[in-house]
Amino acid sequence: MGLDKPLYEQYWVFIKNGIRGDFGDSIRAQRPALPFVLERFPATVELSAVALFFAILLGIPLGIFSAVKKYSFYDSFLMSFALLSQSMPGFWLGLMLIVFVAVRLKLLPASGKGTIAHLILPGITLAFYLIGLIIRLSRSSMLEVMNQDYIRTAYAKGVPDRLVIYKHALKNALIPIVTVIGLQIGTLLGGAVITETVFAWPGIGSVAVQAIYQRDYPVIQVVVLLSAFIFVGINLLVDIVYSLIDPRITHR
Amino acid sequence: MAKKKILNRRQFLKVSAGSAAALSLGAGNLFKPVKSFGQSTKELTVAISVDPGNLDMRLISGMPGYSVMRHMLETVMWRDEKMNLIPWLIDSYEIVNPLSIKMKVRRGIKFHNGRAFTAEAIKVTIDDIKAPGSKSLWAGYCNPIKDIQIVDDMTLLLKFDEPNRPQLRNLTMEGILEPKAFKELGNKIATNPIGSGPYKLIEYVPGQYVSMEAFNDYWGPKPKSRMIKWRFIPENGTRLAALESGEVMMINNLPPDQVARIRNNPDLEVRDFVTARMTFIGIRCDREPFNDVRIRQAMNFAVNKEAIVKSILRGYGQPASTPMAPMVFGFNPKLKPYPYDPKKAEDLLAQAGAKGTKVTLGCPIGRYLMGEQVGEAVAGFLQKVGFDVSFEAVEWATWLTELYKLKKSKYDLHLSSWGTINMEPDYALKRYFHSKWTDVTGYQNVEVDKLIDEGRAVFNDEKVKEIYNRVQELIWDDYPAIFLYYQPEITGVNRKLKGFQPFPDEYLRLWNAYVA
Repeated sequence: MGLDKPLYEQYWVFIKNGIRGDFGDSIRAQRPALPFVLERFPATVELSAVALFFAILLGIPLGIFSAVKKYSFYDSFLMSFALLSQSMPGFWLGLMLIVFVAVRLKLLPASGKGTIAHLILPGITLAFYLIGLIIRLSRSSMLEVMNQDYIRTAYAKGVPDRLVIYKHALKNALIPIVTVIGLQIGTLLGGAVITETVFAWPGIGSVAVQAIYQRDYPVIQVVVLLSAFIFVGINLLVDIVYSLIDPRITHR
Repeated sequence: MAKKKILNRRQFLKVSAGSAAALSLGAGNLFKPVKSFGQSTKELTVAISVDPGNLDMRLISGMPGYSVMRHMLETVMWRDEKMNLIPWLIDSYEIVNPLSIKMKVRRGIKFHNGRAFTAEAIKVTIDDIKAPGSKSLWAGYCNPIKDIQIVDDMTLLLKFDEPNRPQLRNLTMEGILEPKAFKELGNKIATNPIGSGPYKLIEYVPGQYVSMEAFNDYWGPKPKSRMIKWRFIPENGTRLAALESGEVMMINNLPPDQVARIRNNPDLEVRDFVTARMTFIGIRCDREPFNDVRIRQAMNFAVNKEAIVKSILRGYGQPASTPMAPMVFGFNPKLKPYPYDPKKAEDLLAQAGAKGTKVTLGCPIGRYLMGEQVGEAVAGFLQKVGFDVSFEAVEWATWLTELYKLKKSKYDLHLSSWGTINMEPDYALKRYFHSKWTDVTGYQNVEVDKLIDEGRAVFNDEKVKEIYNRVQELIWDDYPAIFLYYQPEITGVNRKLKGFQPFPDEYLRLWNAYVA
């Protein structure tokens, strides 16, 4: 393994081989580490996509609703919900869902991957935190925009409420929301470590945990590197999306 | 109007993008029944704690993985349910002389690809394991075989440089592959193991499961379930939930502190057994003042093993009465666990003038069953009789590095454990008690060394028993470690599962198991 060589030489060998896609063999599985990790990637993408889809689908409208009805009963209710969702630990929620939905009621499978039913509990667990985050962010971002002069102008010239909110306000409020969602995608695709472990979901997160338990260093290196790449890549994408949302931001 | 139209189109786009995403995610498995995980009498689903990582018998490591493989690949020798050594893929063997063993291959065995089993299969598999540059974990077990000669289609001759009785039990571990397929597939054998076992592979999905179906031409008793699916669920709570929800019929590796959940559930039950894994506290016997036997004695009298088994292991496991486990061949039934006698321990300590001796106990985290809790309990017991204990629970790699500073290690004591899955006394005792191997404890007893060496060259069962009985007595009188207990393996089982009983060698045997 070349562990007898000086550190800088080990690092050089790592970089040199890494560029050629050779990260060594998994110590545990005795197979090349890169495909070993990559074959788990689709599962992570699937779970992240479901969680994000529902988080965005529910989070943004609820956030807008909350902002429009600010200080109402609905607003306080949604804000309490958002607080709860963000402070509830994922592993706890996951275990509770398993105990009640899968074990007691036997409605859905407790763990594993296979049918769409297998996606629901881990999907909820993962989306739950995100929903709160997106609601809060959409609300505050919307509130800020709603106080702008051009919104008042729009109302003054008689634009219907719905148009003001969705066209004039939302478009301007989207930048911070997109930024944070982008960051979350990066994190999710790097493996939702806890959720994947609790639900025995065969994604990158569970591979990482197993590799750490088993001191499978080549696998850990691949997971870390891959997560970093995804994170950087998603951030680049987010920057590009900015210009689509707001034409004032352009790439020269 | 124009404005409204744009909005509508956008809305339409949003909706269609959303449904497309939802559909693409669910496509294909949308219409599969939700409760497809039900059990039938023909199909058996179980969950194990580890994904073996591959299905290459030569490279695989870890106990649940060996169990999975044993259903597809069989071994030259095997154990009956009482853990007695029996020939398996061979009819009989004959000790021609201490340096050669003749084996007659069993007739009528077929491989999964339809080819007949011959002597060649054993030779090809073992030659590959011990080939130069082999990465196989079994190499160490096969290397003593100098040469395998094929006498005829059904007869083999194993040649050795030195007499090697333990080899027979070592041959209970390596699964034998079909030689022609093995040559053709090469390393691809890792995804397509072709052997002679009662089950053949359907599919291995990394991180999820391995499934196998009964092999119709199996030479032995017909396996009971048509299909077995082994799911991999590393997280303890999740594995237990899968059992509780009825998705799986059996789970292995249940931590003792979770047993209550199973006991309280009328559908489930615990099936446990005492394994051949001995957990102990190694003592650096070559270091002042631990080279004084009275101090090591005091340590053994100070620790209440009964209490540890009862409270930390919840009554599973068994206090150690010799340095090796009850099912290992040559176990000495006459020896008894050292009694718990803190008064005597204090006296011994006073006699040796070692009251207040500083002791450092190193314990790895997350490595052994309830390891930290047991280590902490031991530290407490030692403290009580007058040792000044500093207890260090550290991460496995750190622990290992410190321990392997050997004589310079700061650990006077370390918590460790040694498993003997092949039930071979040589394997059980050599590592920690033969001075050639005792680097981490520095224990040395010339007579023990001599007898262990002798034991390897004797083939008469009675004589072997006699030798190892004596070795255990000698070690027991030397107090070279704080012997704690034989570790339990606890499985959780759905009461509907029949024909499954766990065994001390830690292999999960499912070929007779079925759901009633």
